[in-house]
Amino acid sequence: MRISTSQIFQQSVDAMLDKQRELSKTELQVASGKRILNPSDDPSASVRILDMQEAQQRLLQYQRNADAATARLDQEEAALDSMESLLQRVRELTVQGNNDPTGAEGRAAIAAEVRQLMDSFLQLANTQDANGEYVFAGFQSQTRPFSHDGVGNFSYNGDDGQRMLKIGDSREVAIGDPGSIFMDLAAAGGGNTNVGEVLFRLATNLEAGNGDPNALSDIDTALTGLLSTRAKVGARMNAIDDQKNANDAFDLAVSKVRSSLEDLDYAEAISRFNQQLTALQASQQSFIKIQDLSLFNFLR
Amino acid sequence: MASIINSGISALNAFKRQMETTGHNIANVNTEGYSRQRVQFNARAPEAAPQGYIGSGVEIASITRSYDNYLATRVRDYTSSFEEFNVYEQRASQVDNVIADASAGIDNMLQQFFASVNDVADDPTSIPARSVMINRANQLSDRFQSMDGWFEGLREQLNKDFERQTNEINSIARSLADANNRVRTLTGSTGGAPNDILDERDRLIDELSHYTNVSTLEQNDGTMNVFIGTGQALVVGTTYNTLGVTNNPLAPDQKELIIQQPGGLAVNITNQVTGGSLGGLVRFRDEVLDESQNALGRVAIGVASFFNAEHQTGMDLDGQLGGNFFSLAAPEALSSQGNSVGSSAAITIEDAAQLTTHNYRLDNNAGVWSMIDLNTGGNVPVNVTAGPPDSITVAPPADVGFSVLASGQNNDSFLLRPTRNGASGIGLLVTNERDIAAADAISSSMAATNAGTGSISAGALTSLVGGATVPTSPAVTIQYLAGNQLTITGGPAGPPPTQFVQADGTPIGPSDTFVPGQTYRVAIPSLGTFEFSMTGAPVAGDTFSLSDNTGGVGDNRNARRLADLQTGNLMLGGTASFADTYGSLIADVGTKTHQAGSNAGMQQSLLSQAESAKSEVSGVNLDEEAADLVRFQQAYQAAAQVINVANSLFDSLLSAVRR
Repeated sequence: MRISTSQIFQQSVDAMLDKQRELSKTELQVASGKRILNPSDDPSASVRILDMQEAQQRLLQYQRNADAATARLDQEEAALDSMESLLQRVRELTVQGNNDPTGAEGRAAIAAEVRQLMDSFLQLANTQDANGEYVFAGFQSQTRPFSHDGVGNFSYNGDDGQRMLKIGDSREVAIGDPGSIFMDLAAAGGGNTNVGEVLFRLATNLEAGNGDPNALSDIDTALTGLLSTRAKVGARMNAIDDQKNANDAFDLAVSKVRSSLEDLDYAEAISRFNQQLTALQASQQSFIKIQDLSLFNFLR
Repeated sequence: MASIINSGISALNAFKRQMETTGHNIANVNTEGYSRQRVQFNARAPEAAPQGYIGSGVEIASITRSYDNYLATRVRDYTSSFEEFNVYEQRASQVDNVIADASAGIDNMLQQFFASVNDVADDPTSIPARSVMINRANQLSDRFQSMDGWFEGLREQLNKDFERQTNEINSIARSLADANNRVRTLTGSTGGAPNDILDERDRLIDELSHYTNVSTLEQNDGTMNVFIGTGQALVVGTTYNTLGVTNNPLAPDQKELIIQQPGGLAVNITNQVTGGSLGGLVRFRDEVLDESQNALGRVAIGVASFFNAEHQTGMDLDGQLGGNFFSLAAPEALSSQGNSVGSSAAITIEDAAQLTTHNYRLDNNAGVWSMIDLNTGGNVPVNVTAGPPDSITVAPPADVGFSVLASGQNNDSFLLRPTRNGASGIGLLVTNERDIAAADAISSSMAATNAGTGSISAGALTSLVGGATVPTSPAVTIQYLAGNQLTITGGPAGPPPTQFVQADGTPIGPSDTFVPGQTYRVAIPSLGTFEFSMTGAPVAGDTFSLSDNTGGVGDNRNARRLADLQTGNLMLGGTASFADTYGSLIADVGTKTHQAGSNAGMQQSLLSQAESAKSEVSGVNLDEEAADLVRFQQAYQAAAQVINVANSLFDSLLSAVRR
């Protein structure tokens, strides 16, 4: 077989260029730690990686939503907790006030405290979160939900709306309760009443020197409602914790698969790198040797 | 005696010529397309003598080049195939690099945008969260536009490459015609073939094979006819045809290749140009660029259409219905240059889920409209409602997601590119944070006095009537009656009447049977259809109401639904999310690039094999030439010695005579 001089050179140069290209690709892989540099390296795996990236982003979003939900529920629970101890105190005062030995003077003092507590309750029911939204207003979150006309009529200006947040692919959680839970309580004396009204009536009766026979029962009704709401809040917080754990576990599983598709096997890549380096050096050296060989060198 | 000298002189001349040729070979060791030359000898015609014939030396028969036409043709074929795949892969990998790049691709931006929608859902009254959402939406539409601009840049580059490469081909064609002329003249004058001009001509044809497929046909007078692509004559004898670039009559942004034939006839040969870098460019444009730009546009149209539809049914912070969030450009319906005056066509996107990445052509044939899918070449059956303008829809069950309003006469035609400008034409309509419709316009509630355990879901507004407004009064009342019946009363003024309807809007009437968990739809006058479900066990007389949600700024129902669009399988006939649709573009381009790359690699190794084979015959080997040089030098010295001997013989003779 004849072989032309330019072909000898061209073949050597082509071989070196090929090896340099392979080497440079391996070098990029090692530098980035990624097996796939462009989608064309492995089209189906790159699309799967994108899917997984998106799933992880979504899980991250669910975790953020869950954190936002937890913050709101914490605030609601704190308000409910204060309301509960407030109503417990009112309950004690009611027992005292209804107690015969307590005289008119004592009742007046109790009434003053009850009025204080009533104002506090109103304030708690109008609790605002960090963004200035009223916690117990339903969807009407920028409308002050509870108002008192000063003569015992309490009104609720919110609605029954309940904001939900998505904390998992198919899991939503309510991040609050509307203020209507403090309204429309079945009164011991028949009909409906509300927490404010009960406190106002109690204070008014005590100021008049009288006890309030229905107050204890009404306050117990209010407390029962409060406790059941607190239980719901607690259940939601548990659900959020569960979901966060589930999300974390899912994220970890996705990460593992993603890593197996996307990440470079360093041991394999480094040994490939060394192999390619050796091959390049070998072709460089053989080029040097071959280009020295010429019959003209011997024609003197 | 004289014959000795004559033989010697003929040998001296012959060997000198051999050494000259060897020198020529050595000089051209690095000349592209050069074929090794060899001097062919003949023994001279012998002189007749009574004893027989006496040899009379050597003569040069010819100087030939070592050239194998079959091997040269193979090199050209593989060059064309390699260049085609190579150019295709180079261009496609530019697209490939960008579409999946986190800082340039769409998927990352989509994720960030929907994350910001989620943040608004978390905190619907937060102006900063809303402001971030508008920023992200802006970035998303900017990204669509910049990526489309990048595709446009590739297209401009490609159009310039068409111009440049046709110029190169024309200049090669001119040189080839010239070479043919010289070959014919010189062959005629000396009888021998002008080797170096033949090499030059073959090199030009080799060069041509980089641009497109080439075939040749040698004529008796030594000229070579050259054909490109699937057989378009480029050079015939000493004349050549000129290649040119012109605008597609339907789409000015699309360049077509033409060949100017004798007589001034220009023939479009875009689809006949196969192989070579031109063939690669044409294939890249048809298979990757157009397809990718359309696919990108389809994602943009999908995001905008579905987001708008959901945003419209929501309520903003000021109690207004949301309206459209994104804007889209009118889809491209391009008129052919020869269309009649007053003809027109306009595309309406009907269902983004059914959109394809194809382009279509709408033709009027004697008043009858027909549509062709330009990617498949297939006919798309249409239903036409006479106008003007005529309303043209695709006949079920086929669906292409758009309809056309067109007016025109016989022979009018339009190029329909429903998704081409989707990405370049996307914009943002909502610029005020308060205008983001995170809430729903209607809120449901149940009366405090209800005795049963029945409850009503939060519900959702699912469609709007024309000119819909958020009602301010009065509420719709739903009452549960004995006999498991629900009746509906009240509602704001205006059509349609307050009543239960089916999913497709067909009226059911003012009462319906109560089924726990069933989805109910209620037509609310001047607004639209509200969807909800009821659970539990109501008792007769229990009431539920649907009232306006004015002031319901803490409501995030619509924002949540907007956020859910991210994962919904809305596209590709309801089988893929936005990200999946974009992912299919990445997979498509990735696969095509990968294939072109491995094809290019294969063609390259075939090409280098063919080149080796050709070079085995035609290439110059310096060692071989060095050996030849020594050999010819020795022969030359021997011939000189023959003359020397003849000379001394002559001298001996003379001295014998002188005495």
